Amino acid sequence: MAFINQKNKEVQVKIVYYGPGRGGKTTNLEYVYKKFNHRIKTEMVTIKTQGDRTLFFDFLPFNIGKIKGYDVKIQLYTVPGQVKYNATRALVLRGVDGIVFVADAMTVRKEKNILSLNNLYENLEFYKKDIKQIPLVMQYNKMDLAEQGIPLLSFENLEQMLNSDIKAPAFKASALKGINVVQTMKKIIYMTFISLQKELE
Amino acid sequence: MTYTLGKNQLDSIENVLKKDLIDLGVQCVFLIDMAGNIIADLHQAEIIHDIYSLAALAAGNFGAVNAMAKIIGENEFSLLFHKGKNENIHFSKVSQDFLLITIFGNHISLGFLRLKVNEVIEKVKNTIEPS
Amino acid sequence: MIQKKDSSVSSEVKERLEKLFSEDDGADDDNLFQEDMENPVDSEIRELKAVVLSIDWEINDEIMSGLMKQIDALKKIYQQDQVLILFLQLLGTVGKYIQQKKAKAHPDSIKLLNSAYQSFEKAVTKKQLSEADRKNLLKTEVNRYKELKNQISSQRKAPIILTHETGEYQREQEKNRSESSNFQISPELTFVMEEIKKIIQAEFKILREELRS
Repeated sequence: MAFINQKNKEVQVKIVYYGPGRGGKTTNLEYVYKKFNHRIKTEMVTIKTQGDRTLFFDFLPFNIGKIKGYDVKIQLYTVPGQVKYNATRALVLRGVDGIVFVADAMTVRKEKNILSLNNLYENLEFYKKDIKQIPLVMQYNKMDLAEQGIPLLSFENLEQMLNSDIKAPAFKASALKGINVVQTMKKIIYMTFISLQKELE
Repeated sequence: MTYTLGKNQLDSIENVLKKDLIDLGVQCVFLIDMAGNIIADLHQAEIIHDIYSLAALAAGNFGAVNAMAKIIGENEFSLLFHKGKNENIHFSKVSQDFLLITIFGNHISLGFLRLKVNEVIEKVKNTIEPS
Repeated sequence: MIQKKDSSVSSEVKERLEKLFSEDDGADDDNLFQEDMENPVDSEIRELKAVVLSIDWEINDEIMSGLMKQIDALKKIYQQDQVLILFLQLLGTVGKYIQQKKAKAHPDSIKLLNSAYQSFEKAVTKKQLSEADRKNLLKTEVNRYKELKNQISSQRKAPIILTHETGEYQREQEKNRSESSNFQISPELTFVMEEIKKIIQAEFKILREELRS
């Protein structure tokens, strides 16, 4: 639920990176943080286990400057992907304005992607949100592993499996190498902002 | 979905927070929604905290503790408070969608702060419901 | 030979045990014991202590009524002890103020309640305190009380800033009037002040007589 502050002329927007465990959600944020820290100058919060797995959430806020006279503050969150952390995912999703679904392109992770997407659908339903109504971008991550000969699902395969109904914009990406990470983020910010535009007029 | 608060509403809220809490000596007070967005934040002049991270964590913390309450059969807990050596933090639900977080030193008793916070919440509640 | 060895081992053990767990400091231990017996919170004031501690966490009518009840009960128990009675009256006055004003109470009133209780507890539990020491404890708290009263009065006397909403101005006036009637004219306060004056006068009298003799 984006908040428009008419006193400070500010808009706060919440974007959540969702997806199966170890799929690259945190890596997306870490890449953005590393690459643009000198410009965005805010800190990233991570709450993770000793095994480097997101325990609660990661959080990266930044200001993208003035749009239509409003200072737009973007808040990127990731959720913990492991199945057992569903309660946490649900509470991080609260008030979400835009979602990036980070799917794991590895063939062995096919099932996990589907389970995670279904889980997203259920959690959104709890908040009376329709997955087809909310700004959403698909990211098919780990495409760089093809170089190492690891079996990956094809773009078409992933589209058919995950996106045939939702029909969201989709990117092939490598969060580790930073390929299409920024493009994914820009796309979701753009889509989210467009959906709020009417409120700002 | 969005919600908006106008200048008058925000002025009114900030006024109450300043008069009833900051002027009392509370170090920092912020009003947030359950998504972690900051509605209003006030602090003593010399205090600088990473308010955005605090807000995200506070919303997450409150949400997590609330979920725990439901699991054990409670509707909610009436006190969420963390005691530090020098500074303490108190959470209070303003309505289903908003939280008031106060950071205060040991010179203010928790019991008294809770009284003040309850008063503030009554004053702020009607101003703040999203349209 | 073995017997000898055994006896030497056993004596070494005996010696070691004696060294480690000697009871030569029996006297000190007794003192410690005594101190413990002097300083534990007397069962009579334990309930009052519990209520005062709970005020740190929560202030509501139930708790404040509980405080007043405890104070009344202790007044009966300590009716022969002038200093303790005055302490209890002070605690009662401050307690009543907090109960009435709640969120509008001066924040220092809570601190005063705590410090007055601490001093009261010392006056009750530390049997080795002289009467003069006890009175000094009381005087300190009464002075704190006077200071608080002055702070509250000066807050009231501060120029009332006219807000553009006259309703708010009127409410300020009413608030100031009711505050003054709750705090300043309280009979308990007057009584406490009078009693303190009497104690001080009595002390001066004794001092003058001692100087003459």
